[in-house]
Amino acid sequence: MPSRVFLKVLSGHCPIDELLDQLDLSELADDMERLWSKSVERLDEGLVMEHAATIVMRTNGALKLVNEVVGSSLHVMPDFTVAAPNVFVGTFHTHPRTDGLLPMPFSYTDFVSAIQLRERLSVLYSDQLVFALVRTAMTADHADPFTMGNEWRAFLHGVNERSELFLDTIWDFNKWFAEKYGFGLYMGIPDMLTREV
Amino acid sequence: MSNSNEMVLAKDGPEVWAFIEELKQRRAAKGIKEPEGPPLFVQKVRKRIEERKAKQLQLQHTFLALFEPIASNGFRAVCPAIENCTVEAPTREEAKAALIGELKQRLRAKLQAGETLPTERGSAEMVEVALGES
Repeated sequence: MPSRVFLKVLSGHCPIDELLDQLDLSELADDMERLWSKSVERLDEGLVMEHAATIVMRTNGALKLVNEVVGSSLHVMPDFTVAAPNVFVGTFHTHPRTDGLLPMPFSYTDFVSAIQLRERLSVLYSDQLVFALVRTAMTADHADPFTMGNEWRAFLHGVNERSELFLDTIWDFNKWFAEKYGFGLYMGIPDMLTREV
Repeated sequence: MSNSNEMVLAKDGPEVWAFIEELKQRRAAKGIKEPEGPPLFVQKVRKRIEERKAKQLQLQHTFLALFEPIASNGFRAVCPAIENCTVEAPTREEAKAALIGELKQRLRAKLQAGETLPTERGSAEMVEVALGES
C-alpha cells in the first residue's frame, strides 16, 4: 500500500513545495526494463522501436503498466483505454536511439501530451535511466503545441553556441520546461528517482 | 509544425528527431566537438548510486531468522526474506553464525549488482492450537 504522501504526490494537484525529494517506482521496474529490452532488441540491425504503456492505479493503490503498445523509431501512440476499477495515472514510453544519443530525456511533445492528457505521472525510460514528470497544482491547464515547439527549437539552437554535450543541453531544456510549465521533474533509476525541479 | 489547437496524443514524432539530427549536423559543421565522457546528468545519477551503496554497506540490516533441529542432530537456519537462504550446522549458534555470513555475502552481491536490498516484513510468533475445541 503506498503512503498517503505518495498518493498526494500522484493526485495531480500536489503543491510544488510538497513534492517528495525522491520517488520509488520499483514496482514498475520489471515492466519498464522489459519494454526497454524490446525497444532495442533489433539494434544490431540498426532498428529501434519506441514502446509505450498506460500507467494505472489499482484499487490497492499499486501502480501497474497496462495496454503495452509498440510504435516506430520516431513516435509511439499510447492506448489510453482504462477499465474500472483501475484509474488512469499517466503514460510510460521509451526513447531508444540508433545514433548513441543516450539516455535521451523528454521531447517537447512529451510535455505537450502530458499537459493535454492531464497525466499525473509521465514516465520515460532510456538506456537504464528513468525520467518522470509529476503534475502539480501549478501545472499548466492548456498546452499550445505551436508555442511549445518554438520554445523547444529556440532553446536547443543555443547548443550550437555551447561546448557542452548535446544531451546535457536537452536535459537543461527538460529542467527549464518543467519549471516553466509547473511540473515536478525526477531522474534516476527505478527505485531512486531524485527530484531535479 | 503543430498548430495551436492541435491535440498531441503521440509521444515524440518525426519532427522532433529530425530537428535533433539537424542540430547535430550543424554543430558538427561548425566544428564544435562533443566533450569526452558521459553527460553530466548521467554522472550525477552514477554518483548517487555509489553514495547509496556506500551508505547501505555501513548500515546494520535486521532480518528474521528461523531455526529448526534436523535429523542429523544439527540445526537448520533460514532467512525467509531472502530466496533460498538456508544453512545447516552442528549447533544452533554455529547455524546462526553461518546464516549471518551467508546474508552478508548475498546482500553485498545485491548491492554490487545495483539491486535494492530487501527489507524484513515478516515476523515470528508462537501460536497455540487446541484440537479439542470446535
